[in-house]
Amino acid sequence: MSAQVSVALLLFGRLRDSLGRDTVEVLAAPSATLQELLGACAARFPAGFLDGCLLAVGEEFCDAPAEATVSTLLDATGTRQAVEVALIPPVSGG
Amino acid sequence: MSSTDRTSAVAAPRLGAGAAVLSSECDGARGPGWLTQTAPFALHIVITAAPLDLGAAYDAVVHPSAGAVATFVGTTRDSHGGRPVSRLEYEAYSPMALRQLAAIAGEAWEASGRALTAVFIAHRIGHVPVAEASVVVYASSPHRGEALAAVGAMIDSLKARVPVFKREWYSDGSEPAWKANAECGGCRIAHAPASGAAAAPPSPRAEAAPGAVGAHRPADPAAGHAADLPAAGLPAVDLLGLPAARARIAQLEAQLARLQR
Repeated sequence: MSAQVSVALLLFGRLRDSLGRDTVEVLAAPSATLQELLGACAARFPAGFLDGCLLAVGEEFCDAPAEATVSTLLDATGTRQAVEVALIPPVSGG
Repeated sequence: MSSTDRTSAVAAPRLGAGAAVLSSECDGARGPGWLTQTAPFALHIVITAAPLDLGAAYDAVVHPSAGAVATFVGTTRDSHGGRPVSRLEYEAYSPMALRQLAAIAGEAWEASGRALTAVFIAHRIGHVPVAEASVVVYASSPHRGEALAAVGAMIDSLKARVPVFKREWYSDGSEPAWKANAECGGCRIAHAPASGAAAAPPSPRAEAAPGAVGAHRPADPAAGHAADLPAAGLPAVDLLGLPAARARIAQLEAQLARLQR
């Protein structure tokens, strides 16, 4: 198996509040899609944790989490072996 | 990420042709920040923990060539659903919020036929007491129609897709509640079978919760009216394509407008 990549999940609002922390680090294979990554995490989060959430990568909403792989994100950001993914609960600004 | 992390510059959002002199700074992922551009229209965006300065907002958009300044100020109301509200608490994913707001302003400028002279948007984070402003949106244009329309469109878009999160605090002792805007697309992360491709437990508090992902119900019934909004007849938007989310927003807005008539 190729080297695992560290993925930082940024948590906001209800998500941050329910876990009591603003970031969760996970390790993922470079071939994992974001959807697979979140699917693997979901069973370890509280029930309903991801309901209504959006993903953002590179400060843009991620249009196709089922297609974006961890390795493509690495390539896109040009960073070291680390990727940042924001979990965006339903927004409530204004 | 700690609040001491400093993002010296936020990457330029996609704006109309000719955008120039765009600079920004953000104090970490959740801290205050600002973004400014001078062309093709003057744009100032601020995320701040300080009380919002309406005079500064006006000064930022008033201009000799503009005959109209249109404004929206969102303030903390003292009740929600019959419960007494003591204050609202906001947090933002600041670098992304700045980019989203700049994109929203760019869209409003395009929609106005490029007639806007200047735009100022500020959102307060932290606790906002009753009758204080949490958000201001100001726009100027040579004639009033464009500025008025732009302000309405920008606050609607802000509420739909800018990553700002609100918790409502009550004075009757009930638990504070995280809110969801009715305008929010309400997209859901679709069911994704756990795969060996991704690994590693994320949380010490983790617990098995089969079916947690993609469960088609609001996470928290207290999370606000949005969850109860016309889910009926509308397909759940799976794993958020933004275009799909925008289409859903338009649907919800149309439905809301009909309900209000």
